[in-house]
Amino acid sequence: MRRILMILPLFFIIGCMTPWSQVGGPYHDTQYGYAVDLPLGWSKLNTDKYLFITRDGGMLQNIFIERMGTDVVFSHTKKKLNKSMLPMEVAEVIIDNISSDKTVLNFQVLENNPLILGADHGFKILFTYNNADDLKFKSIYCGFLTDEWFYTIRYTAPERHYFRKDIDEFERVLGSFKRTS
Amino acid sequence: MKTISFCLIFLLLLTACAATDLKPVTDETFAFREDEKRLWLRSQEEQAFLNQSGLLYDDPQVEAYLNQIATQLQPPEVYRHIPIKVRILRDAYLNAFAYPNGVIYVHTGIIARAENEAQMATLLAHEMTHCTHRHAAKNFRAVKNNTAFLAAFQTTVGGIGGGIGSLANVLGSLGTIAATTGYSRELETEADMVGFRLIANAGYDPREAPKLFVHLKEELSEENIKEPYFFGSHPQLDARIANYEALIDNDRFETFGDTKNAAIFQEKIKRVILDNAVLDIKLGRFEHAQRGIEKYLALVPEDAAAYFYLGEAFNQRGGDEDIQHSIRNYEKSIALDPASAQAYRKLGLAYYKNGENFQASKYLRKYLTYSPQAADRKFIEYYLEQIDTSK
Repeated sequence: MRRILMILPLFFIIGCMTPWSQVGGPYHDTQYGYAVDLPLGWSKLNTDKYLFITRDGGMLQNIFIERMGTDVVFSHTKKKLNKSMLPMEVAEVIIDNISSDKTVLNFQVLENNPLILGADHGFKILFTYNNADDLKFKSIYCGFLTDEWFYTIRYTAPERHYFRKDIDEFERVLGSFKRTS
Repeated sequence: MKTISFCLIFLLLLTACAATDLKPVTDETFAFREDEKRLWLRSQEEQAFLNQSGLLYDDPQVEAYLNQIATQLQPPEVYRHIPIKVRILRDAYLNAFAYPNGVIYVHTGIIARAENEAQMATLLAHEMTHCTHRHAAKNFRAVKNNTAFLAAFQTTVGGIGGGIGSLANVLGSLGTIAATTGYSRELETEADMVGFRLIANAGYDPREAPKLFVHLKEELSEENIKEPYFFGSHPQLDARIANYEALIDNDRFETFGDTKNAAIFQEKIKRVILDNAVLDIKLGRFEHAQRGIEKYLALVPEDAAAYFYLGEAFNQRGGDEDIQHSIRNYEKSIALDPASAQAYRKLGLAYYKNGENFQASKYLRKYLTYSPQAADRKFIEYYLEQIDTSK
């Protein structure tokens, strides 16, 4: 019994240090200037760099929201964004960056469509790829440029079963997205 | 203390002997060792993954041509022990690397920049020597705990991020080592020396041996480019150049052949030059791309696709005069191929951005005519709507 009592605080400490926290409902990120409605029962990775939420685990489905400076340096190409770019041109820079990633295998763009979120005009790319373990993923990558920032809202899940399962949740999150600054 | 030092030196010598007693495959006493067989099995596993990754450049004719060059370099008995096979990777970075089982991967980037068959033979001969002289096995014998080394190496490389970190996941450990760090200086020098002898014996002009590397070094220096691979690194290029120049000085190369086969080489690999330039555009290396396309256009002056990609290189670089250059090249592409859908698309977008809606509408509509199933159809329709509503 004494042992259990000794171990309990340890569990409590580990519990406090967990990298995930439950989310759901309205979510306002004041640091990055946006608000969205998050699905109930999902978990958020505890980081202040971006919003990463999942329900069953990041590999099974995730929604990712990030704001970057327009001077963002891409990991896989030397390309740059600039404010005069059309949304379609921004989409092409993103496509080139993703397809130049050597862990993204058999990359294929299925759709590349315009996206309007409030007053912001952007793009919505639907693509598939295989990861280095040969698992096929399907992903939606939405993005738009403002004067200072590049916002992205993404959804990724294994193509089989999982993508279809949570696509409506993602569309609700996307539809609720508002810039607040 | 002296005894301990002596023992340590003795042990080191023993280790060195164990690592170096592997004779080349042409030696009469040659026999595969158990650890080598395991390396081959591992190589096959890594290659199986690489071959189905979509990274292979699919052109059987170019691949056959490179294999033909390789075959000329080695006596037939080598192929009985090691079935050397050259494969091409769709990668604009400068590199080539060999697995211990004789499979050599050459990047499109380095093929596109070679000027003749003699230079390509130099590269292949260097890589083949790593296989025939069993450098991978020697390398791994020199490391006490190979498995831990492989794991640690991959973890370290994986942490670098960007190009090479992600590549490590695809190549596997053996491929990553061969592609990035290469082998010890002694083994690399051996590959230069033996390779040099191979190309000379095959009748190629040995004076071409350092030229590819001089050329690559100049290109990297001009554009201040740092690449993650073995043949894209300045120290390695310097070492190759120094070794080959020393070999030329020491050898009586006048007695050797002077085959370069520049025209044959350029003719055979011309498509690789253009395809590689497209990869350079994708990477945002517009000067590299422009140079490649111009080299291709010198070989195939009336190629609509080449003018389209030249337009792309200018358009995406986006300098003050680049847009005008891009429009001229798109128009030239259309003049050569009136069904050049992508050129219509890019011309339309260029005019749209410039507020020239009449021209924009004309070209965007042509794009949809020639590419009705385009993945970006909705985007184009959206821009056409914008043009219509602004009238």
